[in-house]
Amino acid sequence: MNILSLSLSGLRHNCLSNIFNILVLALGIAVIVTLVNVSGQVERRFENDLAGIDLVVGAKGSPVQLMLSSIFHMDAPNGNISLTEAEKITRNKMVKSAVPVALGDNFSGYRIVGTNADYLKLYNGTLASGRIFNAPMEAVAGSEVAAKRSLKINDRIVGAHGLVSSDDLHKDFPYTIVGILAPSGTVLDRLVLTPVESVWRVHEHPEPDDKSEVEKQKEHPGKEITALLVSYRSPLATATLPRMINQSSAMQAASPATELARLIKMLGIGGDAIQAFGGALVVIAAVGFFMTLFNAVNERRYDIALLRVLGATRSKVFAFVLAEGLMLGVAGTVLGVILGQALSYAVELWIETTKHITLGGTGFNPYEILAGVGAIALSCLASIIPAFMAYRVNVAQVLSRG
Amino acid sequence: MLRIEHVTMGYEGKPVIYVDSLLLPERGQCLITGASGGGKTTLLYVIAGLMPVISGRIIIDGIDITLLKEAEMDRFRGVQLGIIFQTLHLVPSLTVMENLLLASFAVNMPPNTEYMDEILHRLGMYEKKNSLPQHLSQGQAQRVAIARAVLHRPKLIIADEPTSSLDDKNCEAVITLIKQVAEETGAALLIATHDSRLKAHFSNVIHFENTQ
Repeated sequence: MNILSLSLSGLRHNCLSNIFNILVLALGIAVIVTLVNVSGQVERRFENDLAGIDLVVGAKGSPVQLMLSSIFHMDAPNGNISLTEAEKITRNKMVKSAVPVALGDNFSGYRIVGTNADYLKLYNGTLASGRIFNAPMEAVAGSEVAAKRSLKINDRIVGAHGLVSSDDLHKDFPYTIVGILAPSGTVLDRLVLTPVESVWRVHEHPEPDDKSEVEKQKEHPGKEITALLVSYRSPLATATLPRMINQSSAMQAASPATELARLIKMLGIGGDAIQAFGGALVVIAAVGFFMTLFNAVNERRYDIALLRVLGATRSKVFAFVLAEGLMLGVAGTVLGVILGQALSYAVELWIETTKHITLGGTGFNPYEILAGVGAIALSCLASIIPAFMAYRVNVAQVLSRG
Repeated sequence: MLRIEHVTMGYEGKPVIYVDSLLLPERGQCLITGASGGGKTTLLYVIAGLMPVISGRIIIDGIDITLLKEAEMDRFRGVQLGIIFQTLHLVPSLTVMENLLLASFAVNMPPNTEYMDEILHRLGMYEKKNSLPQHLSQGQAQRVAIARAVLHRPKLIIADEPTSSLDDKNCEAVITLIKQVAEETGAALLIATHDSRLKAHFSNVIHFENTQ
């Protein structure tokens, strides 16, 4: 027999209320763990996709939309920019590299991106098989696209107009798959890459029955791209290049890191509420522990007096009640972390199937450990008053009342 | 073994009971009788170090326990004294065996399971060692409490009303058992009771009266 087995037998005494309190604590921890886990994964995933992109240049409009559409390939683009304008930026001395992005079509839900071979370098993408494209209408498929749509080298695919729908097919302009990429854990996995020229070729001949497209072709006779992904030569460019572009051209320059931080902060409000809910559950559990232990010490004054008569010191009975609180806290936390991990996994699976975003898998987050330690400390805190009551038990008085 | 000299006891500093002297030799057995509320129990609490004395000395096995610090007294009580109080029940959530182990746990001593089994055998409780107290009769529970009290081979056993809630048959069995266990373990025995049935078992009977 030791202090733990004795505490455990004490806890069996109020089995149901203790189980209930442990479950409440576990639920609170699970909510926090899941939130921290999933939001951490999403942020990490986003940050991976930012790669070395310091600046994204595109049509004027919402900077967040520009970032989402041309880096993460999630939103619709806000428009196109002229190739001539874009090339001026490419030639700027402060620019180390500028990768063009031309959007417009999709292949069964996966975006077809007109770009050049430098796009692969941004994400350190490597080929699993085949080669990189070197002529228009050749394409390289991302690992997920290839796997989900069973693509092989030399397969011919047809793009559909727009970014999601698949009814408006460009049947006359099939692409030939010349390479398949190895998985990179970035947005690359979900794209079909092709030279910018392919996109121009597909859209050069407007559908005669689509009036808006005919109009567009008339208004913008020059070649266009959707955005330019810029990497600086030196950090000094941060101060001047975006301002120059925003003030003196028809284009917009946005820093994806800033916009992403802004977006996460905005979304974070919902996260804060969920986190507060999880925190509230943990506090409620701690109050539950306090009440159960408080009653238990009152009910078991005789047991405590007995321990003292048998030679236990005041500190020992104090430690004994504290150990009960500690065990409740540890049980709830461990259960909560397990539950949270399972829940995170389920949420990731859900995001993966519904949003086609593969997250990096579950892992332990330092914040999780912090939450666990906090919950256990709170449980101990909740048991301090009951433990002190046990410490203060007047043995002679308790025995004489019997 | 036990020597009490000019002890004044009371509650919250107010003297209520005075014992001029009481001497119990090694292996001696003594019965203190007197009406309820006469201070017998208070005397036992004081001897067990569960209540402070106001003045005087209590010497057990050569140690003046009135000079011990609280934690020292706790350990002394756990190791040197065997205590059987009427209200000291068994912990309901623990088995007979675990209730005995509690005594070792309280003073951080490794449990002597061989001796534990031996005592349970002797008290006819070995078969019940894994039973919960709720499945024991009152007489059986009292026997477990006795086993627990003598587990550390105490120098002095003090008992408060060990038989008053028992019928004649059980009363006889329990008092015989306590006396026998005390003799076998070489402990001195001090029993406080108002149960007059016990008088026949003791040659040394002190009538305790609060004469204040």
